[in-house]
Amino acid sequence: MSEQQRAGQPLYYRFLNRLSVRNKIVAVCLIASFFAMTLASSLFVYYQYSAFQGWLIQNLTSQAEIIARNSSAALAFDDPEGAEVILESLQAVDSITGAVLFRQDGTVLTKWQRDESGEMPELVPDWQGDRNVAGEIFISLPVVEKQMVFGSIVLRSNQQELVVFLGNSLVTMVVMLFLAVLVTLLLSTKLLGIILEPVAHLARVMKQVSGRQEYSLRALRYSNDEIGDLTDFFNDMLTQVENRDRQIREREELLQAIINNTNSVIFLKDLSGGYLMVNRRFKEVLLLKQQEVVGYMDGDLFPADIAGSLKAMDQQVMDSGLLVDAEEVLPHHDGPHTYISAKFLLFDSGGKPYALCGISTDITKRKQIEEVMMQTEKMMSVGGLAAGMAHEINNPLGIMIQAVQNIKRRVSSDLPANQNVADELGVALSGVQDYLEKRMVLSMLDDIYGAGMRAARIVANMLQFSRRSESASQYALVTDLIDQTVELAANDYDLKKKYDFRHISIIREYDPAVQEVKLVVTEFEQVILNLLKNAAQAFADKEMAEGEVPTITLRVLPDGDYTRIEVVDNGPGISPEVRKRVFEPFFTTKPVGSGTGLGLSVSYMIITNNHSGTMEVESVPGDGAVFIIRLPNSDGV
Amino acid sequence: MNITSYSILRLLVKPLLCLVLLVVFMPVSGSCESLHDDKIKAGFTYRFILFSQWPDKAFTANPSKFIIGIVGKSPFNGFFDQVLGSSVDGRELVIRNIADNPSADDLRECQVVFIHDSYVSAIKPVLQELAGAPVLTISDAPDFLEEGGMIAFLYRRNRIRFMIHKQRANLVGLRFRAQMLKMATKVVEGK
Repeated sequence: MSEQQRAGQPLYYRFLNRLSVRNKIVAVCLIASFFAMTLASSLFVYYQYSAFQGWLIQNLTSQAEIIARNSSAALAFDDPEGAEVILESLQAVDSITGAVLFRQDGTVLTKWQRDESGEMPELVPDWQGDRNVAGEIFISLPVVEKQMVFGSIVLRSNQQELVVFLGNSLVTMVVMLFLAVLVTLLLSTKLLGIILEPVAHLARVMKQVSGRQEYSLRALRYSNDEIGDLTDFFNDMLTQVENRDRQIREREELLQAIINNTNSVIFLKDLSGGYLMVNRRFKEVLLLKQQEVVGYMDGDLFPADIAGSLKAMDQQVMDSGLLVDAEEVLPHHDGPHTYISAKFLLFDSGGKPYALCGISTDITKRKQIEEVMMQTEKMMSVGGLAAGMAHEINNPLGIMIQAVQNIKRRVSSDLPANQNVADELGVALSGVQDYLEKRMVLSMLDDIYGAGMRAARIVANMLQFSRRSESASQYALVTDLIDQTVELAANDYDLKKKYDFRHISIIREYDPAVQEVKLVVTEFEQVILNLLKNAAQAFADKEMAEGEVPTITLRVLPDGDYTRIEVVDNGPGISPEVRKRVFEPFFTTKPVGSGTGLGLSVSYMIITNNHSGTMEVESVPGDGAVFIIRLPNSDGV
Repeated sequence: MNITSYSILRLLVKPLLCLVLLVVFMPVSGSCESLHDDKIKAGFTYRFILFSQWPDKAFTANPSKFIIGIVGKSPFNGFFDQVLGSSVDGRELVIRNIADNPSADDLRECQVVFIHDSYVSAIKPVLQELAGAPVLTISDAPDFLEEGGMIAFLYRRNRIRFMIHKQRANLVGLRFRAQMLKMATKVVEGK
């Protein structure tokens, strides 16, 4: 009920409303019985009063008649003394305070009055019957004897008896009222239990139900009345609520099971960004020091930059009202993971948004696979092209190199055939040689030869992209092979190439559980050597901090069905742009001419193509790089 | 009090007038007095009838009439006129003047016989005639009861009262109401 409505009600209504039902009913019974009793007893007293007044007048009239009868002779024979004696007999009647006997001519024969009462008023007895004058009753009767009127008698009476009667009646009435109210109170208090016990029971059960959510409780039906019906309706409602509750719970459990068992992170935020709900996956993958998420904001759970980008996306969803699909990077215990997030608003029945729902799926692995696939695809196509070209270039190159070798041999004075031809032509062979030497022809030939050989080497490498190794594979411990390669590399230092293994610290972290794997020893050694050389060369590009030592960590450990080999350096690292292209053939960061750009691409082809392994690189620029090779333990070659 | 002081004033201012008035009206007042007494006696006589009861045999001679016989000259000049012809217990009231020497039948027909004290000499013969008859005898003669009458008027403190010889009346079957007896100055009762 509203305050306004309440203000319009009378005060007693508001007072009654504040009472309990029991007190209300008792109050209503009391009020009703009080008014009923008051009305009934008032009517009764009024009736009694009227009857008593009638009786009083009748009594007085009888008295007057007796006096009239007795005083007729006194009047007849005009005897005041005799009349006085008669009137004095009224002394015995308390209510009569005075009497006058009038002669027929209206003169007073005699009068009598009680001592304490006042002077008898001068009354002319020109009337008969009763009169009420100023609270006193007067009765006038003619004195008749044998139809002869001798005069009249007037009696005066106070209403003392009436007043006393009325007082007694009122006292009785008040006592009766009090007793009635008392009896009503006692009886209604006792009897109300019959009505109120079922109501109280119902209220107790309702309280239990609403307080403890125990919808399995049922109220007992006590009586066959409206309260009984109410109890039945309530029980029916409970059954319905219980069923609906169970359905909702089951549906919710189903939904919760789906939400919690999905691989995706699902969350619900209110419009201000506080979490309303998160699934199990959310806590598992994203978190996190704390287990409790609900009520917290992104800023409480994530670093400021990530929280900021999440908030920006949320804002985009809230501004547009549409589903937004985007990639997000979130921190993970093993580094940042990429998520594809779908975020959308949830609307209430009135069409107003009340929450933001997000479903984020971890696509880190898929992205990695995609990356590898792309890399492989690229390598395959480029490798195939390169191999084809190499094959085509190989023949002319062979002819060139052979021709250079032939030229050099045919100008040599050591061969008798050359001398013979020179003699026939009368040319001094030594003179030709001198000429060729002076005109730098010989060194040019050397250059041609050198360039030819270099091209031949490149072609040979390129041919490895497509050609399966002819060398036989064998079981070997990769740790042994790595050790040999390190030894080889340590002896192969080149000041010109700026790397020097003598200043590089080599750390070996070999897991004793590592198995032998099947591989082509020379090819594997080539890969490791290439990685070591790259790492050593990279140190040249980094200014080492004070006390920091160029370090290459070699780690070998089992990784499921694979053996994992990590080559870790603390060099300058690789930028993300470079990292993407690092396995591309002919991609090099070294000055033109100092690298072929084939080292890593050949290594990649050896590992992935020839050994069915994987090869990847991770790097945080400035903190070095990690090359990870995984070789299958089983016979994958 | 006002009336008293006014009377005193009046007495003081007009004593002469008062005296004149007294002188002038004295004889008139006297005759008025006796006239008044007669009227009262007539009234009383009528009232005695009302408070008395006659035996049935009193009406055998003349059942429809109630006769008051007045012996001698009636003192009640016209005083009974207003009640004349009215009914007494269903009987017509009649006043009958009876001569100085009334016959016994005349007397015995009456229910009441009044003998004025101016006819004292008639008392004895009348009472003798009426001996044993249910006739109420009334007189204003002073020794009427001693002479054998039933009700006698007398003066007491200047007011007319009466005496009753109840025994004598009862003997002839007359009954008096107790109230009337109470009013009597003297009631002679029998043993």
